[in-house]
Amino acid sequence: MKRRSVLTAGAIGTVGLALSACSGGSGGGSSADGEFDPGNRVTMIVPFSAGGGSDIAGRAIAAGLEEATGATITVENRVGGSGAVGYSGLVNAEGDGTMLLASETALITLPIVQDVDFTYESFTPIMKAGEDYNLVVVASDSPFQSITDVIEAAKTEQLNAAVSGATGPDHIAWSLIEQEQGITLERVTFESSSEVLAALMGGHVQVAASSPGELTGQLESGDIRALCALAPERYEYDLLADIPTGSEEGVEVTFAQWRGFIAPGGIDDAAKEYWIAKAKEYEQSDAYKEFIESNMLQPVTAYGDDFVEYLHQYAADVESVLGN
Amino acid sequence: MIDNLMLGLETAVSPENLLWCAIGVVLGTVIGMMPGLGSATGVAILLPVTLTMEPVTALIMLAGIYYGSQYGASTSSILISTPGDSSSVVLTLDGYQMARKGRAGAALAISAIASFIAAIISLIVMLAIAAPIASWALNFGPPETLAIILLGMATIVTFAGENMLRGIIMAAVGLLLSMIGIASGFTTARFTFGSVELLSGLEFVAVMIGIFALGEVLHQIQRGGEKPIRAGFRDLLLKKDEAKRIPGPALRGTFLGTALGVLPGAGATLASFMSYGLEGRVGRHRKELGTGAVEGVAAPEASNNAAANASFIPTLALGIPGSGTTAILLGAFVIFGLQPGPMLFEQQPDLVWGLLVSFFFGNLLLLVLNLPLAPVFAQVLRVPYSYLYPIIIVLSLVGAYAVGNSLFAVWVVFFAGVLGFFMKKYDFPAAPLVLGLVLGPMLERTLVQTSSMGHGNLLIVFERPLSAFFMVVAILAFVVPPLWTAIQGRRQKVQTQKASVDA
Amino acid sequence: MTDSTIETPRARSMPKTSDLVGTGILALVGLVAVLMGFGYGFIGDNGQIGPGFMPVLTGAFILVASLAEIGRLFLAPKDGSTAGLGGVAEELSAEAAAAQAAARSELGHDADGQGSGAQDADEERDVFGRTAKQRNRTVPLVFAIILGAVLLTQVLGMLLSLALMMFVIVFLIEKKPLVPSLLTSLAVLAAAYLIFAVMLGVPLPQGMLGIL
Repeated sequence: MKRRSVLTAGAIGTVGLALSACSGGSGGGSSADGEFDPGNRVTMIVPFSAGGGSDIAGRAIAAGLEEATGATITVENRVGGSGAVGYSGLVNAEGDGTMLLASETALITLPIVQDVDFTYESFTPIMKAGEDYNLVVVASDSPFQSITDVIEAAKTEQLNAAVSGATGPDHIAWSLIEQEQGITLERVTFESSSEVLAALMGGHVQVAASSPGELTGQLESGDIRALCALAPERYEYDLLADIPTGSEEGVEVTFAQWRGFIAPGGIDDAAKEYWIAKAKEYEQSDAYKEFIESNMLQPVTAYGDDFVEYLHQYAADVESVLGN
Repeated sequence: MIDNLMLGLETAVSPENLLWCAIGVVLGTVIGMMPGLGSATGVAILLPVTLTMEPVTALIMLAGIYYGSQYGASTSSILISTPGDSSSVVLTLDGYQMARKGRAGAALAISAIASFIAAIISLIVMLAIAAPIASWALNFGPPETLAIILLGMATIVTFAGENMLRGIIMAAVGLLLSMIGIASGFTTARFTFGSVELLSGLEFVAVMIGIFALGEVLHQIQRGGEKPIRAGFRDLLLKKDEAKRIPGPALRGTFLGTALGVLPGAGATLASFMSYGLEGRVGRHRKELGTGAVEGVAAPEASNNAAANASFIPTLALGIPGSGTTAILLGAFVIFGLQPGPMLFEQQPDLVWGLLVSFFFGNLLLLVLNLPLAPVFAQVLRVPYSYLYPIIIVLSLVGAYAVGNSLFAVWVVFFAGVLGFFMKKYDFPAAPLVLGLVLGPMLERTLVQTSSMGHGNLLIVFERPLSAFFMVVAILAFVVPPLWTAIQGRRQKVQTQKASVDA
Repeated sequence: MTDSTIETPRARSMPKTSDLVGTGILALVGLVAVLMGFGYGFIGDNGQIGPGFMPVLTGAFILVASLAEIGRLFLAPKDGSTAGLGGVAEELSAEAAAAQAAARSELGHDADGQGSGAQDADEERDVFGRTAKQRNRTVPLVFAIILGAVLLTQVLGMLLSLALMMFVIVFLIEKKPLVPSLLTSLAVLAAAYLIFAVMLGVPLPQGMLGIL
């Protein structure tokens, strides 16, 4: 099903005034022999609604790829089923090299916890654009000064940890910590990381874990404190440089959520190579740097088969926590 | 604060910002009038368009869309009983009744005035004490929110009208429908019967459009249709005694709306239902409620606008969205490289205060637009129903699609329409169902969270002072009105018996 | 608990079948929800609320309340058989509407003013100029047309198929003249296109034709 939208770069800024529709579907055809050309119309599916973390990443990547390819990349939010609807849309686009999807951890967790008709192997992973490690945080007036304090306290009393979503990356991170340290924390599940923050700041839960990009405002203002980063190395960003890693504190757990984009399964090798090449071009751009920095990601990239390899390992890790 | 106001004024009155503020509120009004297109969808759809603007201009326009659509949504509720947003569902009760009596223009004027009063008061509250209110709102954790939702559910007793039992049954059916999909806090998919689309639950907007728009249209066809309303121009204007009845309920609605809007996640829908319920208890004209009373329009309309404004308080001051729409706006802030929270007021005072001051101009413009346009919009009712109802159907279906770019939502509208038709035909009230559908996920989520916080013990709601207070109020709200009715009924019965004995 | 319920003497009558069927269906829905809810787990293994907790409670409530409503229907006094429905609702009930419509159709003229603008004087009649029987057929017909239009979306695209639906309803069901039917349908098509596709940039399905 072909779709159109007039939200091309040209129409931006004139909405509501100029009622000019852009000329319709020059429909980016599939590949000719050898060289792949996506044509002028590429669609980037974002499986979550506008304004969320997935949407922000998807739009940043789409804008960067537009620069690299010269094609118009239309971002389309296909919302529903905790992301399942968007991914299912990509399943239906099998073989279409002009469809992309802004992907993240849901690609791995959905097939494990829900009855959906895809796994990461149904698609052609193109680029892992960055990794997003969790910080363990507490309210500024919390008695806990380090992750060790939290673990010690959890051995004698019942602590509440707020998580966003029952299968979110923070839930997985806590489960890994529990397994390693032999403790249990009560989970209080919220809908979003901002609700988690509200509960933490209001003193309704004792600890939480979230990605740095979601926390900058509150870390800067001092409403919350970070106890440790569940990352292999310390962050280099000024705001985060003083936060010790988990392993410095004796907690050998690292867990990242990743962001990137994938193409449908069954596309030509030429198309796959084309997108990998363009993605690598994007990695060199200023736009990429800005995306990574403004979201406080770690610029750890992987392409094509390396990305698949990474997903394979990642799926095994998640399975060990979420799989029954 | 005066400095801040001046700074904000400077930003807000730049020609560019004023222009985009105006475009935002007009777009918002149009979006709100479309069946099913509410503020959240409107802001989400138009967010990408603003990416090339200056951040402050973009935010002013997006905010304009937000509160502009609150005005627009009430217009379609009043005129054609097709709410644009869940927070204007309540207006399909008295507002629609007023329109059917030929007072559509007056109803629209009441809603515009009440909205304006609410907007200005809540804006003053925001300018004066945003930060302290926001920190205080953090005291509302899951148990407190749970108690408030239960209090909100208690108000449906008012909506059930003559047949309380059926109203409550419908609220329960709404709750049940809200449970479709992945259970909050769990990984279990419930009532999905293998459908991927249902994993995230029924889009309540689609259900709402189906039940109200399609259900109402088909029901009208069956009972012979609504006559075009040929009200004279003078009938469309607000009468003096009607105008006098606006301020009281509007102020009560503003108070409730501001209070609920500040709480993270509580929101405009709950506020509008509760303020209607409040009018049913304390309003001077409470007996007229449901038949086209001024209070039934002014109170909920004021409260949903106040709630929309107030939801900016936690968003700006804490970086924690107060509503679904401000959650999307929060995303917009991040896209623009801004981090809402206490630091925002210090780092970007011109942006924060400029945005807030722009609310004043936006709302003023909306009042100026909506008052004279009220009689004009009311002309819609002169369109013969034979033409009007297919238009409603077309716009409803396209609107439903636009919410999530999905045809599935269109199917939901269709089947909800069938359901709505039979509900109307057999007299099962629709408003409680929508309330149940909207509050259901919040109710269950806070219940599960409370259970986790108490390690399985739900009684912690009575151990925390704030939640205990609201629980007691909720219980009183459940128990007292039926008791009161029973007592009055008995008294009347005794009197009737006496009378018959006398005769 | 209206006053009339209490006041009227207790002459019982059979409730309407439609009310019984509707409420019966609700009771059944409640029962199913309870059974499925237990399947999802009422209380989790850690003693906390499980995914089935709310479905079981809500379902049980619907079941009990629906049975109570059925009981009320049977116990309701004769005069008050519509007591619970209230004045407005009474007017809305199908039977009443049909009776009214029959009365009106005798006065009947074409109220929409399309062909008969001069007849504003007698406002009191059926808007569509249909008898009750015809109207009862119209409802499933309109539903069927909507169904067809949604299915056609895959072929014609959303806007075209909905505009076609509009035309079919106005011209064939409402029996309006061809030209106004056509013009209004095109106007709605244009308006929907401008608002949704141009102004809001919604990627509406284009179907196989791929035109709009």
